[in-house]
Amino acid sequence: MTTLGAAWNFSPLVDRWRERDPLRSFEWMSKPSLLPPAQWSQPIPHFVEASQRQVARSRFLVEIEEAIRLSEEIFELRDNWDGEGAPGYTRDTWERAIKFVRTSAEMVDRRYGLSFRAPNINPGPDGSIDVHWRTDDGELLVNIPAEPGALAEFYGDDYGQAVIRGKLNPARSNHELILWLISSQR
Amino acid sequence: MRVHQNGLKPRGELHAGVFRGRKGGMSTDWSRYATPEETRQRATSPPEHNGVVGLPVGGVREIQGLRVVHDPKDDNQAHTEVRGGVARAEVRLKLLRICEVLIAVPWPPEE
Repeated sequence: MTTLGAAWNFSPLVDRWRERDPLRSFEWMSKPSLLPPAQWSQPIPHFVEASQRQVARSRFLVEIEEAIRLSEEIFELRDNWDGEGAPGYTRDTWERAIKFVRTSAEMVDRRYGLSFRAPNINPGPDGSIDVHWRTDDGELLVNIPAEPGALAEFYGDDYGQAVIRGKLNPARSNHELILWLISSQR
Repeated sequence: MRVHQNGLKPRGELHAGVFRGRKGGMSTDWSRYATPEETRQRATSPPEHNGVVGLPVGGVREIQGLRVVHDPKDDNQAHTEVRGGVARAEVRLKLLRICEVLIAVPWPPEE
């Protein structure tokens, strides 16, 4: 179950999405006669913007994969890795964590044409794995538990009064949470 | 509170996962009775593999649900536990924000 600690206005996100709709770019490009002759040899603004956006999206997905690759080091932590009895980490838990990250990234990329900063994927308590996003304007921590089938716990805030917290199924798309994350990135 | 260098994988940065409870509480030392170096020397792993971070008691108590309980042991007068659900994501994120590095965690670990 996802609970929102504060009401969030997603309309700016929707506006951004509509502004960048590639179909609008196509419409613009398909009517060159609308351009004044002096601008015929100039780059078409929407086309340039669409190209830049595509590059940014590609970079975003590369950064996500890099964060996932780096997190494989978590497997090196076997039982008692701190000398004080801490449990190790299983591939199953890690795979559920990275599936959550990849599903979230693909969802915002394909459905909304947006992106978010790559998270840090860290060892959490009791064999769990943390997925941690940190920006100048907010933080979100999602804890993927070691127990298969258990819900993940999350907490995020904007370093102030706006808070989001609750539990989620990491195997499913979590639109509200990820849109909250994106809205916290300016 | 001690932080083992392995717990900083994969990036070598402090993160919310270093805060972990054992048997319901997170073990720390009260700075009234122990220096950071004494806390480090109490590690059951080689002390040089550990760093020490400090948490202000007032800041910890401001986090909803947390209590700071002095719990001296025969061999450690400074032993103090933070109780009340340290494993929660909200708690660990807030502890990360208020912690201060007293002895840097050695990084990277030697192979």
